[in-house]
Formats: sequence, structure tokens, C-alpha cells
Amino acid sequence: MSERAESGMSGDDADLVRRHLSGDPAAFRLLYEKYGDKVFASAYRIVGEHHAAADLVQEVFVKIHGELRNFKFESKFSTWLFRVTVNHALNRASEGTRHARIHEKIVRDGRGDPGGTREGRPIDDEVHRALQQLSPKLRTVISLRYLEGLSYEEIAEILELSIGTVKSRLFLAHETLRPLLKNVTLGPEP
Amino acid sequence: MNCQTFSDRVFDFLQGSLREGRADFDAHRASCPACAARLDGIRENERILGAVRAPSAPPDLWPRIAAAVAQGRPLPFRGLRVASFLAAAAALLLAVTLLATGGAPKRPPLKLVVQEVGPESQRAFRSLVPKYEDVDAATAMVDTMLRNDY
Repeated sequence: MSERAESGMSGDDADLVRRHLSGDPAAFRLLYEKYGDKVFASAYRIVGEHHAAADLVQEVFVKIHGELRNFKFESKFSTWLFRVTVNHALNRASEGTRHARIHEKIVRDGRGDPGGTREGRPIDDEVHRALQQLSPKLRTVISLRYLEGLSYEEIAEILELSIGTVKSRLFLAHETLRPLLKNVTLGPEP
Repeated sequence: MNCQTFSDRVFDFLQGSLREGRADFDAHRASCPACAARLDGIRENERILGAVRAPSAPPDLWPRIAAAVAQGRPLPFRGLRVASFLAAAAALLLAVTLLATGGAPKRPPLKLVVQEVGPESQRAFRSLVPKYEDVDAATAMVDTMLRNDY
């Protein structure tokens, strides 16, 4: 995402937040329309399952609807939203050990995500399966960097880590991912 | 430069922002096959990750959020799923009981009973039902799923 586009988006977001706080009912829906897919994608990468991700996105948007009055405009709305989402998703991911075992059993039985595989393309499914073998913290940095396209600085702000720690986690995530992705083939580079 | 410093700077190199120490970085890459391989691996991972399509939120998510916001709390999707599984569990136990006791021939077979519950439950149970051959095993499986809020 370019700096210019992000800056414009941030201005729009602040305006939408102000409109929401002043009672405009359309503003919150516009925020959802702008970020709903991105938040869902991040949640899905971290918790690993469509229904759990949908639950989580609903909880996040209900939570921020109530808490936007406390938004200080000191950070970008998108940073704040991703922070709430990631914290929520990491908590959820750490709670679900036994649930994950049942889910894994169903996946290994060849039935896929009980919520239904909606991505369709083999590469999406292969990468998703590989990401699910990383720890939640490692797949979070991979998701924010490569699937959301955020900068190291933005990731550091969302996760409240130093940039050095973000890069260290990314390095470890790549080391872990390499053997898991070795059989994924793409066409030649353009 | 050693391998640790190389790994500290590899992302700056990849995004084209490594200026200070670039010559040392290149020299280490040329002399250390392990770090050169790591760099190639990260590049290949990035190429694959860059080709992944992000999933979209379900189309019915906004109406659910709007309804939940109106009620001031998240709607119990999870609870609904548990209720769905309870219905499926009841159907499954009935079906398994019929099979185990050689139930009346006019009773609906297992396939029909399971079709009466939602598609989500059907998918899960279709993968699990064949593994359980008696009422006790099926009951234990359903109990495990419900205890885990599945």
C-alpha cells in the first residue's frame, strides 16, 4: 500500500469515525465495508477456520462500535482496528487447543474446513495449511506483512513490538515455512 | 558481517532500503552458502505468499453485525452451532439406535435423518459417523464435541 493512499485512507477513516460518533448510522457500515474483508482475512489466517473467523469479526465490530467513543485519533483507525482484531484472534487461537484437534482430524479425513473451503484454488489451500502449522504469533506477522501488505512499522505498531522483533519473527516464520512450501509451485517469474 | 547480522538486515535488503553496510551484506552472501540459501528461500516464500488470494468475509456477516450492534452484544453464532450439533446429535443417536436395535423397516435410514439437520452438521457428521459403530461410541463422540463447544 502506498504512503499516499494510506494517508488518504486515514483521513477518510477519521471522518467516518467522527460521523459515527456524531450519530450518523451509515458511517459504521462504511467502515465495515472498507475493512470487513481485510479483518476477516486476518482473523481467518490466525484462527484458521471460516466460522471462527466470522464469529471473531462480528465480536470485533460489536466491540469497536461500543469503544469508538474512546478512540483518541492518535493512531490510524486501521492500526487500532487491526490491533483489536489480532489481540482477539490470538486469544481465540490459544483457547482452542482441543477444538483444533477435532478440526485437524476432520481436515486429515479429507473433509477440509468444516465451514467449507471458499478459497477454491489449490495454492490458497496449500498456503493456508502451511500457515496453520506455524505458531499463531508467527502466522500473524506473515499475514500482516504479505497478505495485508503492511509495512514493518505498521506491524510493529499493531503488535506493540519493536521493528527488530517484527523482523526476527518474520525471519523465523520464513525459516519454518520454507520446507512447508517447498512443494508449492508457481509459474515462472514474469 | 556474520550470519546473525545478515539475518537482521535481510528484510531491509529485500525491500531495497539497505544502503549502509550493503557491500558487507553482499560479501557475506557470496561467502556463506547457508545465508544465500536462506535469502533465496525467503524470496521464494514471498513469491508464493504474494500469489495467495485473500478470503472474503461471508456476505451475511454485515446483517449479523448490524443486528448484534442493535442488541448491544454479539449474537451467539457459536451457541447456534452448538444447538445445530445438538439437533444433529439427537438425529444421530436416533439413527444409530435404530440400526443397533434393528428398528422398524419403515423408519428413516441414517442418511435421511442426518439430512434433516443443517449443512454444516451434515458435513461434519458425514466424516465422523462411519467411525462410530454403536450407541456408546457415538454418545461419547457427541459429548466430546459439545464439551469442546464445537
